[in-house]
Parts: sequence; C-alpha cells; structure tokens
Amino acid sequence: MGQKIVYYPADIIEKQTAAFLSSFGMPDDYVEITAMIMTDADKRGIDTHGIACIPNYHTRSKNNWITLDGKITTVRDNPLTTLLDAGGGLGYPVAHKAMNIAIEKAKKLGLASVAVRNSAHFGAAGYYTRMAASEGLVGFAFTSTSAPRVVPALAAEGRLGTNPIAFTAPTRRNKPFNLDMATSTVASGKIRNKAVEGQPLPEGWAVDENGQPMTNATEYFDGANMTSLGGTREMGNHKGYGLGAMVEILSACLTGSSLVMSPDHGKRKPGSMEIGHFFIAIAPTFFRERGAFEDTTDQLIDELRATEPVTTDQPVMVAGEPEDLVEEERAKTGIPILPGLREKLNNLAAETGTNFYLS
Amino acid sequence: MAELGGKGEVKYFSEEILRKQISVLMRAWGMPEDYISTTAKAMADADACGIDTHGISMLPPYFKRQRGKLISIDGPVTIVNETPVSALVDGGGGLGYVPGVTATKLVIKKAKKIGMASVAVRNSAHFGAAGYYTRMMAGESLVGITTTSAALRKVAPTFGKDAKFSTNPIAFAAPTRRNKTFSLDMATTTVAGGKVRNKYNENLPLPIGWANDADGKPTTDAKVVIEEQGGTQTPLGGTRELGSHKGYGLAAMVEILSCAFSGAKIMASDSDTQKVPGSMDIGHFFLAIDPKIFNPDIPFEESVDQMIDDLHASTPIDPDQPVLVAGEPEDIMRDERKQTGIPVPSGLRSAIEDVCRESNAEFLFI
Repeated sequence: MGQKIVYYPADIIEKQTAAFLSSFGMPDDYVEITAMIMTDADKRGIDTHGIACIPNYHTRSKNNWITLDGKITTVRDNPLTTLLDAGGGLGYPVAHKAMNIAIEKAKKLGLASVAVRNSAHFGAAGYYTRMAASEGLVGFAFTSTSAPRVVPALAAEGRLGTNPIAFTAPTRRNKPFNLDMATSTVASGKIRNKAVEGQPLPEGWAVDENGQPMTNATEYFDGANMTSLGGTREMGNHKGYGLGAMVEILSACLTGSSLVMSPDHGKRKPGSMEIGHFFIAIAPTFFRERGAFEDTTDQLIDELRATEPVTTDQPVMVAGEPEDLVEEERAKTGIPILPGLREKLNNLAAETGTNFYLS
Repeated sequence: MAELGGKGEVKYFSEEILRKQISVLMRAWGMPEDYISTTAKAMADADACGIDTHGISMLPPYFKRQRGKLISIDGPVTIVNETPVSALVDGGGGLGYVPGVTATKLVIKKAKKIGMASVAVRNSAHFGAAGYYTRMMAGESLVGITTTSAALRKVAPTFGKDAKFSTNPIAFAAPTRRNKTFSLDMATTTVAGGKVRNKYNENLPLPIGWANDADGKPTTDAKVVIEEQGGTQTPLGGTRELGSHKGYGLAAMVEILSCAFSGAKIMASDSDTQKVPGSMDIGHFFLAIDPKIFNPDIPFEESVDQMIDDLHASTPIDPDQPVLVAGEPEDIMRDERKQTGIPVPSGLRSAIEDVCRESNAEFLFI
C-alpha cells in the first residue's frame, strides 16, 4: 500500500464504515445512522470523529466495553423531557433518536430536552445540534467522556474529560451558526499530531504529572494531561474548567451517569462505558414572529464576517464556517485518507473479515 | 473601578447600609418604588460576595446613563407574550435588575410546573452579575442558565481587528445538598476589563494574550485598550494557538441567545444603535430545568455534590492553593464580609458622594 494520501468519494467512506460496524456486530438500523453521522464528520473535515474512530470502536467492542447491539429504551417520558437508556451501545443511534425526540416536542410545545445514560462515544456533538437548526430550532448538545485527562485550574491531575459543548442557531441567508468545542484548550488529537511531527507543544496545551506546563509532545503520553480552555491560570483556565464542570453536570449528573473522575467510571457494568449526553431544542417562534430569530442571527454573522481582518489572507469567520468550507471542497476532491490510517483499516478488515473498499 | 480605589482609607459597611444607599439614589433618580428594593438587593449582593465591579461601583455610571437618557429609570417592565414554557419580557429601557428578576421568577414558576422553561428579555440595560439570577434558580432546586448582551464593544473576533462584542457573560448554577451551589459566572473574555485597568494603573505590562492592539496583534501595552487607541480585549483562549476561537464562539453564542430570542439589538451592528430612544436595548436570556423531571437513579443533587467533593480532592499544584469549584471564591468572600463588613475604598466613596450631591440624595458612607 502506497505512502500517499488517497481521496475517496463520501459514499465509499460511508460504505466502508458501515461494513466495519456490521462485521463488529452492530444491527443494520444502527449501522445506517452511525455510518451516516461518522461520514458527515469526514465530509466536514472533523477527521478525528469519522472513520478514524473505527479501530477504537473495534477494540472497545472486542473488550466488551461497549454493546454494539445494545437496546435503546425509554426510561421516562414527560411532555417536555425524556430519559433514554442506550443499553451500552455506541452513542450515535441513541443521540440521533434523542435529538429527534427533542425536535418533535419543541416544535409542538416550544422547548424540550432529552437526557441519555448508559451510552458511549457519539462522534461530533455539532451533528445533533445541526439537526435542530435544520428544523428551525436552536439546539444544544453536551456529552461526558471516558477519560479524565483535563486538569481543573490549580490542580495537578486530570479530573474532567474534554467535555464538549455544541450549539447551533438557524439562519436564512447564511449557513447555520454552529459552535462545537471541547472545553479543553485543544483536542488530544492535536497533541498527537505534534508528537508525530516531532514538534514542541505550545505552552498552555498540556501539563505534566505535577501540573507544570510541558512542551515535549512525546512525553505527553506518559501520564501528562490537557489543560482547561484558557491554558494557564493567568489566561483564565478557571473559566474553561468551570465550563467543563458544567458539561459534566448536564451530561452525567442530570442523566444519572457515572462521573468521569470516579475511579470506577465505565467499569461498573460490563458492556457499558456509562457515558451520558444531554440535548436541548428551543423553538424561536415561541418568542418572536417566524423568521425574526434567523434574521437577527444572519445580521450578527454578516457583521462578524465584515470585521476588518488582521491579515488579508485570513478573513474573520464564524463558528461552523471552517467545516462548511471543507465540506464544499471535499464534495469536489473526495475525502483524504492518510496512508497510516488506510493501512490500519486494511489490516483491521483482514482481521475481522470485512470487505475493504479503500484499496 | 480600580482607579476609584485611591490611596485613602477603606471603610467597611454592612450589606444593609449598601442597600439603603442604593435605594436612596434610585428613589432620587425616579425609579418606581416597587422596583427599588429588588434593584438594591441584587446590587448589594454582588458587593457582599466580592464582585466589586457589579455592585455600588456601578452607581456613578448608572447616574451618568440615566441623566444622559441612555436608560429610562422609570421604564415599566412588561410581559410581551407568554406560553406555558416561555415568555418575552420588555425591560422598558430601565436598569436590568427588575427585568432580570421578573424573568427569573417567571422561568422558575414555569419550570417547576412543567419541567423546563425559558424567558427572553429585550429593551433592558445592565443587570449586574448574571450569576445572581442562576443562583435564584438553583435556590429553587432548578438548573439555571443566564446570558446577557452588553453595551461596550471591547472584544474582537479571532482573526479580526475591530471590537464586535462586549464581555458577553454566561452564568450557570446547579443545586446541591451538602456543598454550596455550583455557580459559574464568567465573561467570555480572557480577563475582565478591570484587570486590564489595574495593570494600566500600576504601569505594568499585560501578559501576552490579554489584549490586541489596533492592528489585531498581541500587545503588552494596556494603554491601547484603556486609552481607547483601538485596542481590544481577547476572547477566552487569548491567542488562536490557545483556542481564542472557542471564546469567540461562546461570545457569539451569548449574543445570539440574548438578542435573537428577544429581538434586542446586536451590539456589533451600527445600523440600529438607539433603535429605542431612552434604552440601551440590551437583551438577556434565561433557561431553567428541573432535574427531578429526569428522576435518575442517583439523585441529581447527590451527584453534583459527589463531583464537587471529587474536584476538591484533586491533588493541587501548590498545597497552599486547594482546588476550588465555580462559585466558591464568592462563597468564601461572602462569609468573610459577613464578619468584616463590605470594604468601600475612599475613591469610590467620594465618587458616590458626588453623585449623591448632584442627585440631592443622602450620602450614607460616612
């Protein structure tokens, strides 16, 4: 297999993703939704949340940390709220269902929220909030995670996950405003990239086991941790820490999931990582006449994009725009798969008896 | 407000005296009688827990704003529309405290009845510390979120030169049993404007990442911000490399929540400045969720307490500086000030004395 980047049409990536999930034992109806959402991440350049996750999911399934055929059940249902149990499965089907329930309720009654427990990784949080925006609703999504690798302000050890926040607002003229951010300074994938390229880490990304700033990327993988957004105390990492704790409260406490910093997190029952998600949908038409919310949001986006840039080759963008641009580009070029990932997937296909479509 | 600190004597007063001083001035400015105690209580609460930028130090700017007809101190607060889960409140162009408390009471009542609710406010002004409202919700066993737009453009988007936002704060509170309420109340900037001003006053360099100059380049010179030379404060993250696009994204989210639901004006826009005469047309947003509605196996408050305990138990970098949770520094300050009283520095006292004289109101900080 060559050492160059190869581009594949999105439907091939989706087919390959689906083939893997099927061969790992995921039921067909879950496969369809999961492959669609994972491939959407690849289409939009969120390469850490697409087909690159397949090897991890295989490990988790093989070790019985997740239950790919876990049954989704409704634990509680009220007019504005629902609590779902994911049965230990990957988070995509249950998150998709949860946001659809929130959308349906919010359209009827104005707003709604759905809590999910007993779940696992659900990919990019922003996918679900874009579902809400495409129905004219404002969407929020939050999730807890599997590993406490983010240090609180003033702390020397990791206690929270990367705990992302996603928020999408509908528009008329522009693409939706779509914020999807980890509450850590950077995603761990960025640290891995620096390590692979032998580059130092910018100060403020990571801290060693004593909580001291570290810049050696390779040492990161020996017990170092990520910082909360802000990076250092002087630069406001207590705010990123506060946001991370807020996401933990919404995703874990509100759903009855285990806390990521608990010593037995994800180990209490076989076949479940015990991750929690939380979704909110709000109908702007319950506040103002139809279209008024979208017009205000469009006005804000226009004003922000019209900001004079620091350098002319780097215009001011709004949240979601970098992904919108990649999506347009990749619709023409296809989705790039790096040689290392392709080889990994090829080996995994051989190991699991899965058809390989990326040769 | 550090420039008001001066080198003179600090005097200590009870929260009660602060409320009285605020009330006397509000009455002198023509605030309706039934709005005064709500306003005084919310403002003095900020001083009581150490948020000195949001309490009585706001009296001089409020005096200027009401005299300059930027706010209508007697503006009526009205409910524009209402459903079982939502409401839109009009602040009547007045100070934001009564609109804020009105909205919070509405959102609490509705969320308790049906599980969750949200209320938007338009045509308002400064409402003090956003965390005051979310703590009210937590006090009623609800999870609360509050955001507000704000008037002064100070913050540039990532990659941009010009300021398009104010400090756009977000507040979140969650109820507990054993511990004090978890209460996050944060500007979406790297630091508060007051911290930049303190460095300026002391002629100290700013840490790189707090501010950018008029060309959008990181600067250590506080003057470019304080002396209005086109400098801007950075969104949380500070530099692109450290994630300023996230702080920028949060600031825009706060602007959307505060203005797009309510119809208040977008602060980035010049086109509709002074859309409403006698109003700064600031918008607020409130969301409350009743955790009992999900009724998880582990009671919500217990789980939040467990999280706080676990975070407290984190190994600290410095054994003398234990790991805290959001709201705790204010709780500690509140306990301390209950003993000592609330410190009012001489510069602030004389500024308020001037305001009292010009307002024909009694001055109580003597």
